[in-house]
Amino acid sequence: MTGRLNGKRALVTGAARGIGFAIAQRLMEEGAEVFLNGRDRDALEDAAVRIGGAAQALAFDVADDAATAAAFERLREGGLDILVNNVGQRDRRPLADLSRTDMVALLEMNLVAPFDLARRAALIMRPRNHGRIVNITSIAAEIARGDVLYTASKGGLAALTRALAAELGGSGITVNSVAPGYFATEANKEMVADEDVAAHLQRRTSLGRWGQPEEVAGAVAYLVSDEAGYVTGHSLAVDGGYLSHF
Amino acid sequence: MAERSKTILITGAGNGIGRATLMHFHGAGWRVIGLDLDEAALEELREALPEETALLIACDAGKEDAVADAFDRIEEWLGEDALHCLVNNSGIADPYCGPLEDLALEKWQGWIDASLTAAFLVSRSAIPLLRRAADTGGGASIANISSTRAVMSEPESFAYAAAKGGIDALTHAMAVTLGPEIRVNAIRPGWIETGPWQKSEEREHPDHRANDREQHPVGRIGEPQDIARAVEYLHTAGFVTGQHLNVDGGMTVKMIYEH
Repeated sequence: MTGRLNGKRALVTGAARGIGFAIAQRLMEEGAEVFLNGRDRDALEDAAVRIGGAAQALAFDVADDAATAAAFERLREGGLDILVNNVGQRDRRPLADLSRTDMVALLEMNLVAPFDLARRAALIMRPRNHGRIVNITSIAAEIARGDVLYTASKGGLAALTRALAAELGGSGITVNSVAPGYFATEANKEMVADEDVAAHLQRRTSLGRWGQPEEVAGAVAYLVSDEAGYVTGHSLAVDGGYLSHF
Repeated sequence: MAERSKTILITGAGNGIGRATLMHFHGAGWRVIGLDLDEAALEELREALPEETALLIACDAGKEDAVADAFDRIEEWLGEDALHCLVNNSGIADPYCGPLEDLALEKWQGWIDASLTAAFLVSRSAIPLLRRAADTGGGASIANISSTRAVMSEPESFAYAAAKGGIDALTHAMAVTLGPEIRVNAIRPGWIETGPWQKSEEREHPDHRANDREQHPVGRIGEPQDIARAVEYLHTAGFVTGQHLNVDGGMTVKMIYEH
């Protein structure tokens, strides 16, 4: 890889597996020192070993204010150049089965935590007049198939991205989102094995296939690099053409 | 010099964003083909770049016959080789066309032909050459240079805005048709200062007002190289197609209250 992130420090949430892991791996390959966040310390340490190099586990619950504050205290010492808000939850139950409590709990993880991490990251980035924040949203930020909690949270995260971009740009911080389509992650392995879903993607996308986590990582690597210094407030769909296809 | 195994074709390559993109890719080890109406600008580029790695053709990309003639030369130059990337960048840079009730059909057509018709004509001719790249596993992509004016406007920019809106629509229509072999995306530049990338007699380095810079969240006006780098990313972005990438310093997501 290019070394274009040499000397940069990055925090990736939800990095033990799937898309978050691929992002962390790519940022490390580009030269960054990467902190992998998640709740499962053992899984994170295993992931850090698999990535190798300057990758280290930083276990904390992003929904826990005190734990998040402590983690950022640690990050502050060496600085933080890149934040990737990747962690998110999904609750596919229909509206009839959902309560207000369910909505609040999911928003806490998918919207409040990215807000709080961006706020804390900006405190570190602003004095250095440089920073990159990328929020991993979803094509569900723009289209819907039910899935109300997740869809609303991702729409909120896309709006948060625009507002942060407008507010933080003057401090040299760009804020963008990447909106993945259908990705062949471990969490989706049952869907990946489902021929009906494959047929749907063949019909409904330009590229006719599942995305691979490395392809989200490529978009993040571009957005956090100097090459994308004039890109901010943007939502980049990495979806094989899903959003442009009836 | 590393072996130049990939080739890019850029329309409107004589000045501005097209010129910067051509130089960026040549510098990155690509063979480059540039089309433009501006013979003087092309001549400067011919003097700067070796003819083995750069083919510069005077051509009005909005005219069917001119594009056909240009592709005769391109196919001869390429031989059996593939085209890997097409950048439909040509257009009339000045968006202001005056009051709608005074706008002559001929003038309207000028804006439409220079960008939208040109993107159609050049893509149509380039597709077989791009398919060669897809067939050999090299990856083929088209980047259509749209504009933030495809989604927002200033007064009296009807034809330019309509042409760029058309470019956005052409992009998703081509993406769903040409995939998976050829990926097609649009880039929407915002305010890009092209003065330093004009031909020498028109080159300038404007000193922008603090207000102009500050109304962009990133605190500066864009450079043509910002667009070149976006083209480079999209060429490598194997799961991105039918998309538009705003490269506008955040202008279109910020509510601006002052001028």
